[in-house]
Amino acid sequence: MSYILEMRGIRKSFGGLAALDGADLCVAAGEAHALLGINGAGKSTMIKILSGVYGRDAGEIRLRGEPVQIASPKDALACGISAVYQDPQMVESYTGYENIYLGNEGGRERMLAGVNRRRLRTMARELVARYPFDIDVEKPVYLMSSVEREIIAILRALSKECRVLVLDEPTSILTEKERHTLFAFIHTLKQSGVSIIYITHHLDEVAQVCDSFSVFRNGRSVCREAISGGAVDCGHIAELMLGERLSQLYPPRAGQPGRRVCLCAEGLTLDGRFENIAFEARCGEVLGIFGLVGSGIDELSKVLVGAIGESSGTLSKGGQPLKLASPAAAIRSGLYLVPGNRKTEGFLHNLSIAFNVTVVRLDKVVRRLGIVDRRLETSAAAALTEKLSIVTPTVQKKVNELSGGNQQKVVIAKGLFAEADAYIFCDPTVGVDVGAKSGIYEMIRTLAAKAAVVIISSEPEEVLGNADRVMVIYQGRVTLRKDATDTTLKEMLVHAIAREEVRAG
Amino acid sequence: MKRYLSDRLPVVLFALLFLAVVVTFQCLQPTFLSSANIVNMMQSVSTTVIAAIGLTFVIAIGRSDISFYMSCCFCGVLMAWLVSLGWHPVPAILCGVAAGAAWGSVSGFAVGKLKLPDIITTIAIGSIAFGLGYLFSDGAFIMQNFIEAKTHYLSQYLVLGIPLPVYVMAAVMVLSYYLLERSRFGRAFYAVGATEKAAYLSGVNVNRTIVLAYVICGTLASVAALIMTARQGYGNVKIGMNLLMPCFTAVYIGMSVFKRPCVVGTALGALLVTAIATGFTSINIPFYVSNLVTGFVLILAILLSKVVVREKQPRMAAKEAGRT
Repeated sequence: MSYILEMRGIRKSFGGLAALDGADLCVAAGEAHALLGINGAGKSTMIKILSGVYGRDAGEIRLRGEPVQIASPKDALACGISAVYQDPQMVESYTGYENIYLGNEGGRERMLAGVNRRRLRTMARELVARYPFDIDVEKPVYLMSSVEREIIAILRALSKECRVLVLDEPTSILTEKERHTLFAFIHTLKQSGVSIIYITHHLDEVAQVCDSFSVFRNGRSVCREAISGGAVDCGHIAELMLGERLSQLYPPRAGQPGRRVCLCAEGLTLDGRFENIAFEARCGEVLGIFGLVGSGIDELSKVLVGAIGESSGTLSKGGQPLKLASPAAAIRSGLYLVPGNRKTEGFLHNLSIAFNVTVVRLDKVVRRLGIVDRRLETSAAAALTEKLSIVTPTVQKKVNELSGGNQQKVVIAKGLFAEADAYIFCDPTVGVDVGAKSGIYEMIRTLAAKAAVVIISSEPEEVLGNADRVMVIYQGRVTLRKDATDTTLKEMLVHAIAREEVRAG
Repeated sequence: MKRYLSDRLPVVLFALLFLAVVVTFQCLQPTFLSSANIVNMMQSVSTTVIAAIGLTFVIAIGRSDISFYMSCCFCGVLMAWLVSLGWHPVPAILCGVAAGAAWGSVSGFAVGKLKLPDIITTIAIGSIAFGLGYLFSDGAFIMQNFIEAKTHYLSQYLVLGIPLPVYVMAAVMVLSYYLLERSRFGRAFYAVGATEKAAYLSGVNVNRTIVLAYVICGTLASVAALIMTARQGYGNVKIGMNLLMPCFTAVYIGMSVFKRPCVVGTALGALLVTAIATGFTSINIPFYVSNLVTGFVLILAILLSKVVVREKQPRMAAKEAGRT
């Protein structure tokens, strides 16, 4: 089989950490090829190399068999490669065709001549005629539905003589009906000979639109297979995505089930993100909630501590109903969230470890008149850095100057300083090296002896390895609920990538 | 030891720069360090320091305020008008300060609660305040009863040979230092300015902190405007119009020295800016040249205060990329 695009042996590392370690990606003309893998498998890096955003350390890219150099996004466009990212940005007040040709309105000689709208409109009509689709390109974008915007973004890519089109989670903000509209358009594109690389976490979509798929795992491509008969074997793909078995870095589980229910959620709903989520977190054990990016787990963690207001449902702690208006209120009632994105949510930039740790409970280090006792502050922060073995010369060091693992430990130290009796950890080890990871897991297990702990994560291993009980969320709904000892990674992942399997299993 | 030196280096550089400025002007104009000019400079420094410390709170939360220098004009006119009605200066001053706090809270509400963009919104609010003050005074000087009521004492009254504004400045500095840099409440300002979302999730009341910063800025600017009005001897709506540049320059000089907005840094910055401005005046160079120089100083200070941040960016970017 001859491929239009071949990427072979691609390597790329960031600061010593290999994101891609010899990955292949091949696409035939006129096919839709799904790129699958759990978070951190290297999908995004691969696409960024293809579209010229990153350079590659090693490997080659061939187009129609000819090796090509892609050093910048401009080179990629010249080769006929375009990418449409999630939730594409557009000029809201411009019409569809103006957005299609934005920045591409005409030759340089026309710079001062103004934009020839009539010409753009004709060009846009011809483009739509080439890829037939019922869309009014003269409508301003702010009046368009999500799927129409998506199609304008795709047309924009196609207007540059695109042969290979990358769609990065194109359905993430679309409704069920809009999805089918988009799929119909993708079929039209395939018939016109455009090749599509389709990135998604939803296997049912793969079965509907794609002809073949590649699975990435730990920076390598593990397989390339064809899809026949419009069906995919979820279990098989889940196995490919997971690879090795549980590594040995998880501390032993709790001996017996937790006795006292500490945190209890019922019917939690946030419009458009998740629906009717219920769980009980008991003191003395770890509850793991697994869902892939976009499944609603990040929003769930925010709703639990009152950082997102417009939700419904009830939350209670130790039998008392909780009405949380803000994270401040959550901290006061002994509920603490260790947030997922440490750079924007976890720690305060350009401020010291001591500042970061104590900011959650300043009342603990205050003398009279609200003056912070710096000696008390320093000793409290120093005790925590020692407890979590944070590597730093002093607690006055700024957190952003630490390594990723140590930064994450500071974020956790904040939680410990808050002395809560219910903790929610959201993706607690993103971008953390293996050594620091096991330290963090030990810490979480120790914490669970005295408090209720919920780990919300998009890494299935992390959830299964740490939790006593497991819950899986797909598209905002609970699809699996089991004891950790009764389930497997494969079962969890199957429930996190497609809902069809729920009925079967 | 090495770290200690590298931390202190900017302070030493600042001291040398300040000394150079003073010595230069002293050579050009021997009366520069005369006791009369020093008292004059102290008065001028005190108002800049007071207003600039208010601005320090807003810069600390990572925002800007372009309203304070216009809204404080309203406050000066209000005080002069109340005095002209026959009020005692003390309640008139209190009303002026209250007006400053009120305008600050308007800006704070707009930026903190309504989440409007800070610069444009505060320009608009400041213009409204200034416009109201202008309409109200009709642009005229309000001088009835001003000297008779001894309103000018606010600027000229000497205690132990030192003018009253210097004491006000000292009080503002001490209180602000404790509030911003030592108390638990001050932590909130820096936290919001550092990483807003992380501050919110750490239990900081972000909206309240933003509102408070603008209220403090408006209040302290009004105090400065009232002192300047008293010094002038009549109410004039344009009283605060020259505060904007020196205040921003003072805060950014402070940041380039201490790598964060802080009270002492701002005060030092104000000292340097005032020395430059009065120095130029003392050698009879028109004010717009000193504005021009201050402009250059501000740009330089912004560059210096950003150096630290820029050094760290590439490493962070690499780490972020590694996560995808």
